[in-house]
Formats: sequence, C-alpha cells, structure tokens
Amino acid sequence: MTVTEAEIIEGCKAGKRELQKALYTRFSGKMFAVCLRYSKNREEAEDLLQDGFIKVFHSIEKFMGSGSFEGWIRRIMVNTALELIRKKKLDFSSFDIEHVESYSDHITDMTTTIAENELLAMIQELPAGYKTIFNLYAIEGYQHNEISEMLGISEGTSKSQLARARHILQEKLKRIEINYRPQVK
Amino acid sequence: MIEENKHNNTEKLFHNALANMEVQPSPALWDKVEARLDDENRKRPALWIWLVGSLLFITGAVAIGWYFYPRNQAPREYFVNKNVLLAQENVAITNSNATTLSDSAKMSLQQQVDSINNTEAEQAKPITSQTIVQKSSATTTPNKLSVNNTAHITAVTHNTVATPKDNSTTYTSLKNSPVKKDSATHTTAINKTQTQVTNVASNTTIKPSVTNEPETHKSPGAKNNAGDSINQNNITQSTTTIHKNTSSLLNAVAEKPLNKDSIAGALLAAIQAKKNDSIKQAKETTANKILQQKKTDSLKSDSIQIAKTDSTKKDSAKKITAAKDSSHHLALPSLLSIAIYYSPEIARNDVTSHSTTFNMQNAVPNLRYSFGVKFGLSFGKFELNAGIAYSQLHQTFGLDTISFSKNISQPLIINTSLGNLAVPVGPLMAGISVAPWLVTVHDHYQYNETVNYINMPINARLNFGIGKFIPYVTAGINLQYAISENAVLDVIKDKGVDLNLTYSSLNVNAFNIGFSAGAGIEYNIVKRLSVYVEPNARLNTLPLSGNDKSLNYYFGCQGGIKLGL
Repeated sequence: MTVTEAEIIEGCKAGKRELQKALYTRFSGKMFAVCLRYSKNREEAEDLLQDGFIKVFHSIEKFMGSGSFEGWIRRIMVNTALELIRKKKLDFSSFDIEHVESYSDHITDMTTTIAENELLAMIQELPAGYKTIFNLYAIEGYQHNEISEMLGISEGTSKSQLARARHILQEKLKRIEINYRPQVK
Repeated sequence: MIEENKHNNTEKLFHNALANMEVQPSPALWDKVEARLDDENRKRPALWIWLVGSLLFITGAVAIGWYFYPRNQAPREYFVNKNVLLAQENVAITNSNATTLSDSAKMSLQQQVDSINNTEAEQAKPITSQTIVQKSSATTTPNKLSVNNTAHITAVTHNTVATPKDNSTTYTSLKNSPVKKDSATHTTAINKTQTQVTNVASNTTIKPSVTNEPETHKSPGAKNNAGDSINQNNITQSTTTIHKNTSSLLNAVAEKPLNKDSIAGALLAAIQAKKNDSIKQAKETTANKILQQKKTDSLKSDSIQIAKTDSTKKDSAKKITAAKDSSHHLALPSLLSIAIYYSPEIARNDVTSHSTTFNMQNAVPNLRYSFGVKFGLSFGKFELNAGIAYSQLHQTFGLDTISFSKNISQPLIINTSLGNLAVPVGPLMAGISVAPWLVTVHDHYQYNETVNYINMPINARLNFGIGKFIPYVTAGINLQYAISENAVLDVIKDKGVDLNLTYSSLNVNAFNIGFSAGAGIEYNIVKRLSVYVEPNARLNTLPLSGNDKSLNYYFGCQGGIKLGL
C-alpha cells in the first residue's frame, strides 16, 4: 500500500517515525543527487543529506502545501549546502573576471550519450565557488540577482564565476566528446 | 547570439542530465538520521512538557505548604502584638466560662465554697458547713440506732400495752389512768423510768431528712430561725415518728406502775428532746441556707469577675482596633499571594574578540528583561515564592567599524558568546572597489543576538519589620530553558551591497540553573495589595553557550504588584 504525499506530510508533522522514513525513502535518491552536485565526494554529500533531512523534519510544520513539496525539500537541501559552504569560508574573490573572455566554447553538438555520472563528476571536480554558482544557475534555475542575494555577492561576481565554471566544463566535455566520436563513428 | 546558444547548450546538457537524477545513498544513512532525530527529541523536550512540569511543581509546592501550614496560628495578627494575642486568649477563656459552666468548673467553684466554709467554720462555730456535715453524719448514725432501739423496746412490750391511736389520746389516758399513790419504791422506779425515757428520747431523734421542722412539733421556746415553708409530708412523718417514740415510751413505762407526774415528766423530757432536735434541724437548715448563700455569693463573685473580664475583653478589642488603626494598613501577610513583575537586567558584553581591528566604542551592554507571575506562600515572616516567567536576552552592537586589508584572504570572524560568526572574504569584499593607493577597507557592522527563555524562579523571602514599608531579603534558584535563539550580523558597506547573515543554529545551553539573591522593599497600598521593588543578582551555573567561557551573571531590578489571596 503506497502512502500518499499528503499522508506523509501530515504524518511527519505529527512526528510519526514510519512516515518520516517514508518521506526519506521517497526523496532521498533525488536529494542525494542534489547534495552530490554541491559536494566534493560521496561522504560530504551524505553529511549534507543528513543535515538537510533533519531540517526538513523540523521545518515541515511550516510547509503550507502551496507549492511543490519536492521543490520545497530541494530548496532546503540547497540552502543546507550553501550554509556549509559559508562555514567552510568559501572564497568567491579568487577569480579574475578579466580572464573569462580568453576561454572559447567549442561545444557545438552536445550528445546525451554521456553518462549522468560523468557529468556529475565533472561538476564535483569544479572549485567550490564555480560549482556552487553553476549549480544554482544551470541546474536549479536561479537568476544572477537571486544568486547574489543568496551568497551575498554581486551579480557581476556571479556571472563571472558562472562563465569560469562553464568554460571548465566545456573543456571537459570537449575531451570526452573527442573520446566518444570514434565510438559514434 | 551563437555564443549565448553555446552557453545554453552546455547548461541545458547538465540540467537535463542532472536535474532529476537519482542516486541512492548508503542504506545506513537513514539510521544516522533517525539517531539524530532521537537525540534532538531527548535534548529538547516539547515546550508543553516543560510548562506542564513547571505548573505541576508549583502546584505541588503550594499543596505541600498548605498541608503543613500551622492552622492554629493566627497569621494575620502575628505581627500585631503578642500581648494583644494573649488578651484575646483570655477573652476566649472568659467567654467559655460565662456561657456554660462545665462540671469541672462547677467542682472548682464548690471547692472554693467549701474552702470558704471551712475557713469560716474555724472562725465562727457551730454554724459552718463543716459542722453541718459533721452534724449531719452524726444524726444519721443514731437514727439507725433509734430504729433498732425502738424495735427492741417494741419487741419487749409488744404484748402488754395497746398502741394508742394518737398522742393526745395517749396523754389523756395516761393522766387519767389509775396510779398507785403510795409507792415509794415506785418513785425510784419512776425516776429510773424517767431516766430511761430521757435516754430513749435522746436516742430517738427525728429523721434528718426532715429539714423543715413542723410547726406543730415546735416547743414554745423554739424559734423559727429559718422561716421555711411547712412541708405537710414531713409533718406527717415527724408525727408518726413521735407517735412511735411515745408508744415506745409508754411501752417501757407500762411494765412498772407510774404516777401522773412521772409520766408527765417523762413526756416533758421527750418534748424537750424533740425541741433539741428541732433546734438542731433549724441550725441545719440555717447552715444549708448559709451554704446556698455562699454559693450564690460565689457565683455573684464569678459574675463580677466575668463582668470584669468582659471589661478586659472590651479593652482587648479596643487595643486590637487601636493597634490596627495605628498601623493603618499593616503588612498582614496573606497565606497565599500572587504577583506579576517585570525586571530589566544588565549583563556583561557578549562580543569577546575579533579577528581584525575592531572598534568596541559603540558596544552597549547585554540587555535582558523578564516578566512573569509568581505565587507566594507565607509562613509568618517567611515566604516561599515560585513562579513562571518569560525572559529575553538581547544585545545589540550598533554600527561599529571594521577595518581590514583589501588583500584579505581569511574570513572575518566575530566571536560572540553564542558562537563564532564567520563572514567569507568573497561576500565581504563583493562590490567594493578600492583605489590602488589604499590598502585598508572600512566597513560597518551591526550585530544583534536574541535568546528567549522560559524561567521558573523559586525563592525564599524573609521580612523585616511591619508597617506600610516592609524591607526584606530573598534568595533562591532559577530554572531556565532556552526556547529559541537567533543572531543576525549585518555588514553595511560604504560601497556595494549590504550583507545580512542570520545564524539560527547556535550553541546555546538549553537548560541552566542559576542562584539568585536580592533585597527589596514592599509598600502596602491598601489591604492585601502592595507593590515592591527588588534589586537582585543572579549567577547561572552554566555559561550562556558552549562557546562562552565567561561567568553568566546578571544584575537586575524587579518591580511587581502583589495581591493577597
């Protein structure tokens, strides 16, 4: 017997452990992927996931049901990741925006044959600042003004760091594409 | 446009691949989450549990105090005057005497009367109660003997003499009976008989139950000293007794021949004996009346004493009224009281250090306040208070200046008692452009921290003096529970965006126990309503948070309104 989302929400508000586990089981896969994108490795992502779910269970009384429940949980996970980044004293100023234009984008025909895990690994390998802004902008869909507010940085910084992240990823994709082309042919 | 599409393609590739990606964490992760949930539930019980526990504790303390409170005391008059209290007790005793005389009280009065009688008996014999008692017992014993004697005489003469019907007949018959005139030996016999008659008469007395001597039996010389009413039954009994005695006399005489004179003499002797008895009865009656009179006098004396005590009672009441009036509104502690209070407090500064040049000039003290309600239970001049209160610790540092190098690479860290607040260099420097010749950047920051507590103060209080103003000292403990905490650091830049960081996961000690002491003064506005002000100090056993090493102390001044229940 499947438990509905509404039942899970009400059960978690009442503090019922079995429904808290049901929520975890239902969303832990997607949320762990989110955490992986903001982390360097699996262990760090699991710590994030723990913190995120604890916050979800503590804050679920505030969820009014006006939007997507999954989206609400995802925002909590992202915010948890950002808090951790703040605690780690992430330095957003180490990037020189003047060098951005020297990178060119040669990606013209992106295929979907690249494994998700490989793409995820590319993001994880990014420096923390780039990774954070790329995740927020490209995956979560935030705009630069929102990112600047969330991280306490300027929009210019957000844009420049996104450009740097994009450039690095394109370089990696290009290498992978080269490796894949013989196989495609 | 082409460049933008390339960018979009890259981002689209990652978005499509990763936005809805699922990766399962390790199976043991849920156990860790569950363990943390259990730990946090144990660490901070629900607020309602805390509140209910507090209320139960207060209720239990009040109930125990109520149970052990000495109800025989008169707490409201406790401070008035001990003498007044004693006077009230006397009045109470006098009242009980005046309303009903108990058996023991009556016995006591009787003993007093007897004592008086004994004393008077020594002074004026023979009319004393003691004499009366002695005489009464003396007359009882011969009475029995007289019955025996009468029976004996009757037995001896039973068959020889007819019993006359009445005294007059007997007397007449005796006088008219033939008497031998020449009997010298008879004279001797008559004398002997007369002696016998006298002896019999002296031994044959009227029963002591005859308290009122019948008029018919009084001799001419007998005086009616008592002036008692005549009891017909007693007269009949007495007549019967005399009749029997006379019969015995006649029976005794009948054995020997008698002349008229001897018989008349014998009768006169008998009458004289009776007369003596009458006098004895009169004395007895008089003694009884004296006894009664003395009892009455004693009661009158008691009545006078009661009247005097009534006067004392009135005086005592006047004294109480005067004492109450003189003090106007005394501090008459009610058994139970309730007070609401507000207390501003000051503590030491919470910002302890800084990682860069830091200007503390604008720092203000750590402010705190509490307000609540507390219940009091009086034990004479002692009072036990327990209550529940909300309190808030709040501190603001307003617009201090932060100076740091434009080449700073380490984050700005502000150490507060709630934790270390770190500001990354990136956000700190974002939007700031500094001229090449400047090496130092100036920003401003404002810091606010707030911790909300619920408290349960339990204090003992000792009052000094009475009157409208009551000084007192107090000491006790304070149980404290942090229900929420919050810290906000706002960095205000000369150029660029402001940085507002909120810290909610702070390492505040949730539970704390503090020792408090204070001295205050209470002013009675009207009866049962008073206000008070109480400077006090408190030292918590634990610091404010896990990051704080300094003493957690406060100085405050509590003011409240107290209502006696």
